[in-house]
Amino acid sequence: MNDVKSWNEAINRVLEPTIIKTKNILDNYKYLYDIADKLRKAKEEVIKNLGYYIDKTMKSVEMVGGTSYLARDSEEARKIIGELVGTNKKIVMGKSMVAYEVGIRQYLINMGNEVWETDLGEFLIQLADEYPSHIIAPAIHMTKERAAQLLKEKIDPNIDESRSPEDLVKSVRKFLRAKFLNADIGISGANAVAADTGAVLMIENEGNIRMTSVLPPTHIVITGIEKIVPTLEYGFYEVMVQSAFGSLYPPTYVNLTAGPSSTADIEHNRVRPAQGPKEFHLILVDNGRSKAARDPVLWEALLCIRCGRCYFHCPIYKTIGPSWGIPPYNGPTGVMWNAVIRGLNNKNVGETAMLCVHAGGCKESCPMKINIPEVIHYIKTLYLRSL
Amino acid sequence: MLKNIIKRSLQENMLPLPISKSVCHKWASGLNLKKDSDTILYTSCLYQLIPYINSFTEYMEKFNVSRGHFSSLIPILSKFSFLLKPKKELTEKSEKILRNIVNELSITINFGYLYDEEPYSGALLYELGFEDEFREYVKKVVEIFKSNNIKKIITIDPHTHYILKVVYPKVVNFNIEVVNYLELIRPMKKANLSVVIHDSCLYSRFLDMHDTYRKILDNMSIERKEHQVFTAKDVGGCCGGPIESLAPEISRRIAEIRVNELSKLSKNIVVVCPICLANLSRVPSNVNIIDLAELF
Ligand code: SF4
Repeated sequence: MNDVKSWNEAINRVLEPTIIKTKNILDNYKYLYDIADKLRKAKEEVIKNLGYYIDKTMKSVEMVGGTSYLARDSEEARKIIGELVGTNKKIVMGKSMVAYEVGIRQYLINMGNEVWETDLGEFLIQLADEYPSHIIAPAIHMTKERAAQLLKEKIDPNIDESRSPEDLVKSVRKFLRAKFLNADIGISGANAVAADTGAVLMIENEGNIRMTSVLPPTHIVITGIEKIVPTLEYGFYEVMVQSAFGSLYPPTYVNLTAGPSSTADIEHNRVRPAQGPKEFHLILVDNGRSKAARDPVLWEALLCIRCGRCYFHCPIYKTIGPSWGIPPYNGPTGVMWNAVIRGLNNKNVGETAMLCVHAGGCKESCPMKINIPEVIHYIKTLYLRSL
Repeated sequence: MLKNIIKRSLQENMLPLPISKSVCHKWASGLNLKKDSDTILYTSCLYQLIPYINSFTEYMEKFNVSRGHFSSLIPILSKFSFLLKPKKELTEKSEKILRNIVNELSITINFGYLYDEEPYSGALLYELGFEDEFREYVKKVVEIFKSNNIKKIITIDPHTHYILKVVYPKVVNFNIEVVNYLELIRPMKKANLSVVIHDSCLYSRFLDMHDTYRKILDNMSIERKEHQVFTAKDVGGCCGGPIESLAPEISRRIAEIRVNELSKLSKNIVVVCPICLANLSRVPSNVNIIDLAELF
């Protein structure tokens, strides 16, 4: 995966068209800039008052019949999810960087569960036993030919390299359909969690998150505390901005989940469950975030809505790819995010920061106007001071 | 490690590389620039250093200096600075650029030059992240400006301009006016040429000067090829220069990719920064890397 030539070939196919696509979206839907500015303000408010908003979110989730948890670190998050899941379960997962961050998939497999990633990119990564190379396009380093070869080896011997992407997707669809239908538990991430209602928003294009969150009897959402927004209104802003700056707008699906499924069709009395899950759990992960929120410079990283745009505007990412960073966080935002979850005094984080050329494309392209070069400069300075 | 090379060199002769100070002002001989003017042209020795920087980077690459392992090089470089053999063409090129800038500026403004007293700005320390060392060093630089009664500084490259204009005021008491030569000149010469600009990251994305040098080219009737991605303001088309001393191979690869994408638009790549000039020139290719000032 770190092979320079194959990386360059893969990124060359993606970079230019993606940048143009996003520019066109932003030209066509000008209101997005406005919304992005409002969203930044709302997120600043949450970051300044994290304790209050975590509390409010957890209460709201309970109000709609769900259960909520706060995990201080990765270990605690694994423990919570391990207890919820148990063993011998069939699990489908929708793409979640936080799940990767705390090591959920491998942990649950080790406990004796069958776990499948259902986002196509993440599924390919799972089959290849690799790590994600971009926060929203995790298999961006894989060319079509490589994907075909991998699927042929792992799930469908009838596939050959000349197959079209449509054919490849069809094979995966067939394979994953069976997994969805038999799953006991669905685990997904979240793009936003609304503190006022406990509603969780998840955007996607494949339909896999919709199935992950509706078909299995239990739905678990795991996400970072920085995904909290004050109200549901801002939740919608976040998914709009994230998908647009992430180059897919409108997103094919916006999923909203507020608690387990319910019906009020008999005497207008809400009863649970109905057709969807009977259990809904929200795990909010801290893992360094609340500490970062108190840092005078690093706090800005928490504004990141993971649109992944800065990656494409960065010469270092373009040149050396996902190896610049520590999985699952790479690219410009990854330098900041590794400092958030691993600490500002982590040596590997410092070394990663040293490669920044402060080209500034990241700060120009970021919908949240995060001064990424400034944050990275700060990480560098602290690292060099520690040597 | 690298910090020691830079620090020692800065202590000894106020330059980031172990070379003789005369390298910095040789170019000005015969120009009769005044020494006692309160407005000065400030080169920060950057253009003059390009040939040496390239030779230094070559060494780093040759000795297979990988990230962070600089220790083996210190004794070699700090004792035998004569090993840094600059290429003659590059030296001539940088002298021509400096002289052209002087000629062009002289039309609109009076200024002097500090010759052997001109200090290096310390930009490299700051950019690498040696913030504490930088703060210490800057005090010395500002002292020199003060003792020469400098009121106005004309910078000629983006790194020095950014450091003086944006960073100095944050770290020291600094009330000298800083202007960039691109804001002062208006070259009249017309040229029948088609070029593509390789933007300076600092000018275009940190100093809001993306259009300043575009206008200069337009006034000179020079055609510029633009591309909605590769010459756009929000795309970080870096030359790789800032990490040439830390990770020379990656720096070279960035330069290769950059030259390759720009050469599809024009064989004449115009740069506005000595570091870009140095790093893009390392790539063997059939394109011309031209500093804007060479066109005056
Ligand atoms: S830092 Fe900004 S551009 Fe990069 S992923 Fe986050 S929100 Fe998107």
